[in-house]
Amino acid sequence: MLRHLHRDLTKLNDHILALGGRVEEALARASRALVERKADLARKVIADDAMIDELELTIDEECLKLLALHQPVAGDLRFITSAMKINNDLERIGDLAVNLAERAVDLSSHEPLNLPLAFEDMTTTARWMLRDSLDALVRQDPDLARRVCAKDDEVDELNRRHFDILMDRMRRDPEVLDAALDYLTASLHLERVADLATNIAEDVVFMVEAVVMRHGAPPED
Amino acid sequence: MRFAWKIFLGAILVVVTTTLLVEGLAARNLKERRIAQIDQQLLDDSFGMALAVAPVIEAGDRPRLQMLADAAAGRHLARRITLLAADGSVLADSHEQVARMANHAHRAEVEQPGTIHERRSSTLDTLMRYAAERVIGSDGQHIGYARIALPVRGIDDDLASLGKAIRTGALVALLAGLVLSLILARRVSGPLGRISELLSALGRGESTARLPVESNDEIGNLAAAVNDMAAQLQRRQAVLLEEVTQKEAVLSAMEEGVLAVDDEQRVVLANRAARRWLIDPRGDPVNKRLAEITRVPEILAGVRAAVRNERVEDEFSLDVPGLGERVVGLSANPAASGKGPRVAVLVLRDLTEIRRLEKVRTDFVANVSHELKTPLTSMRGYVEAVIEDADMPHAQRVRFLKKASQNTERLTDIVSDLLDLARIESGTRPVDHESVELGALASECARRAASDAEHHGVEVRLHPAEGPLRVSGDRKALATAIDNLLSNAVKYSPPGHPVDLTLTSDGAQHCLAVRDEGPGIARHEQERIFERFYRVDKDRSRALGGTGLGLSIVRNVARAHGGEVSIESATGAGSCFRLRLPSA
Repeated sequence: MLRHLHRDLTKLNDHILALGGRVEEALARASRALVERKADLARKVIADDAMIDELELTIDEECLKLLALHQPVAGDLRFITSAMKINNDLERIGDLAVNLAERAVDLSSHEPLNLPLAFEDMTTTARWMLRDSLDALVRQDPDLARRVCAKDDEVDELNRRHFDILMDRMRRDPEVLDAALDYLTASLHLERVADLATNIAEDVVFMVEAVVMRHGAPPED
Repeated sequence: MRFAWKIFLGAILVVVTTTLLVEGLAARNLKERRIAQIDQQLLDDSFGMALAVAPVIEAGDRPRLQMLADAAAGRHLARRITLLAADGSVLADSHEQVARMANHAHRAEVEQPGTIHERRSSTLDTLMRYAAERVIGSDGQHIGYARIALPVRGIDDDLASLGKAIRTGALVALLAGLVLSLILARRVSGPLGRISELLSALGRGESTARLPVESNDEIGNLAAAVNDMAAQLQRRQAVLLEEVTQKEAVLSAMEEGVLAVDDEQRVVLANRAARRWLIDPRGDPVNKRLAEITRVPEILAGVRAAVRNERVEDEFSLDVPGLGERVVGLSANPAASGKGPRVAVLVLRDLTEIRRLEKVRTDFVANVSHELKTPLTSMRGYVEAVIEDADMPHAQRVRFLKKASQNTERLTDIVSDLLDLARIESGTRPVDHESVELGALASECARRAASDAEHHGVEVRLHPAEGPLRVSGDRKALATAIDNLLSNAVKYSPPGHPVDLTLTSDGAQHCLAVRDEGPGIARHEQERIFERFYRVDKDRSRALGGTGLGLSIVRNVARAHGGEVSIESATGAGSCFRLRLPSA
């Protein structure tokens, strides 16, 4: 029974990481579509989201099945509940990548605004945060996870700066309202992506530190 | 337990058992024979005695009977002689006074004359064997008994001394056995110990030592065989190791990443190039699960397909820390290893440069056609208009022909730029090595650019270095490069903003920096602007009258001089081009 549980947990872990890979790819493509104004790349992201949703449902089912069938305790239970949360967060990031891609499609039809917007930095940082949070999950590395959490402020700061620059421009030049609003929304989406990556990193810290605690504390299972 | 001890214990066991057995058998045998002797003597003697004493008993001469009994007992009284009357009363005894002796009629030997009986004599307190014989008178009448007794004591003494002799012999045999077994053990267990030491060292793959072959017996043969085996084993191991090392060297020298994954999604092999693409390039990926080392959906899908015995070719882009965005080509192939499970072999190729060059080439062809066609089309239009409209007013005709001429000039510019570029690139025009002072050259170029700049409302500011900056190279080519950088900066600067031309040096390298406050260039375009005909903003660039070759020429000039040109820029924040050249 225990062996079955562990085999299923390994499979769950693999699926979470595979989902992570897809979401990473979607975010990378959406980012490139936004920065390089590539509408076709953005449309691909939108079309591929169905796969992410499907994988999310599969993982959710797997988690519920594991809970019902094995009634796991302690560390295993913690792993499954964390997996459910991370699954949810990843799917949300996938949706945000779609939103970002939609903005990119919109923006590619507008004239570029000559503004010192740092979308290249912002997308790069958000992607790194997602990548590092998943790497931290793989390596069970709470230090890396903590570094992800620390990076969140950078993205928040960029978002604030974008807000200031775009609001200023919109006030002066209402003609660019559409494009500026697109940029503003995109910036907000990226800020949300960073938040969700931070959530994942926090889950990793909880997962790992609890495992460490399990060794020191009275046996729970 | 040591071998010697086993042999020795065996010897002890054998000696002790043999001793006990021999002693027991010998004692029994001896005793039986002695008793038979005694019994024979008892019977013989009692018969003789009965004959001898018959006349004396008939005569009733008691003192003579006593004398006879005493004489027959011998000097050491080894025998006991008792003479009885027919009713059992004692007539004479060699060892006791007759008066103190009871009637012997019911003693077993007396009741059954001619048989032997053994018992403890109550009078002498020793184990004795008895025999009696009837004494027959001259008229055939039963007149008494002659009884003789012999002590058994003598037998036990004999047995004791025999046992002592046997035990002494056994002790000697044991000592000899100990010495022998030690010698034997040393001769056997010494070499055996060395053999086992060598074998376990071989097992660990350590030893190169060989055994001494001391004798021609089984042990010597064994040692020789082991030596042989060790030599062959090491030879084979060396060959194997060589093969493995060679394969490993080949694999790690490969520029393509090779990744093998078994059907349980565990990594079997990953060469050095493959490790570059993984999550944790420093850790050893072998034996880890695939999901732990990569999350690239294309790789995961490739492995899944190859494990199902399908081939997959794919291409994906990957953000590699330290290398940036790379285009990776993947080919996944199933490989069955004998009877073992199927293994997915993935070959990963870095296609970034190839794809980039392909794009450069296609872009170049498209661009060059476009660039050449635009002036040609307009030339043709004007010239045809002039030809077809014979009544065209003179002023208009001149204007048209001027336009056509301008476009010819533009074509000439493009073609000569292209030729320059081709010459520098192919190296057919060797860089003339003359000593050039960058400061003087820069101020010359700045002067040349000044009129154009003024026209744009832009000021070119020269910040010279403290001393002269000498480089060795082609003065004309360097001037072209600086001109191109300056004219770009002037073109893209908004009116009222300055262009700064700064010269610095760190001794080994001189640096010429041209900074403008124009719109800047997005990061993903920064590498591409050095390509031929690449334009960030196509319409605007052409409107400003560039050939699309300027930066390409700058880079080629820089490289031909052993230097490099780089850009630092961000959207909306201006650009700074730096031309670095080695000092002369």
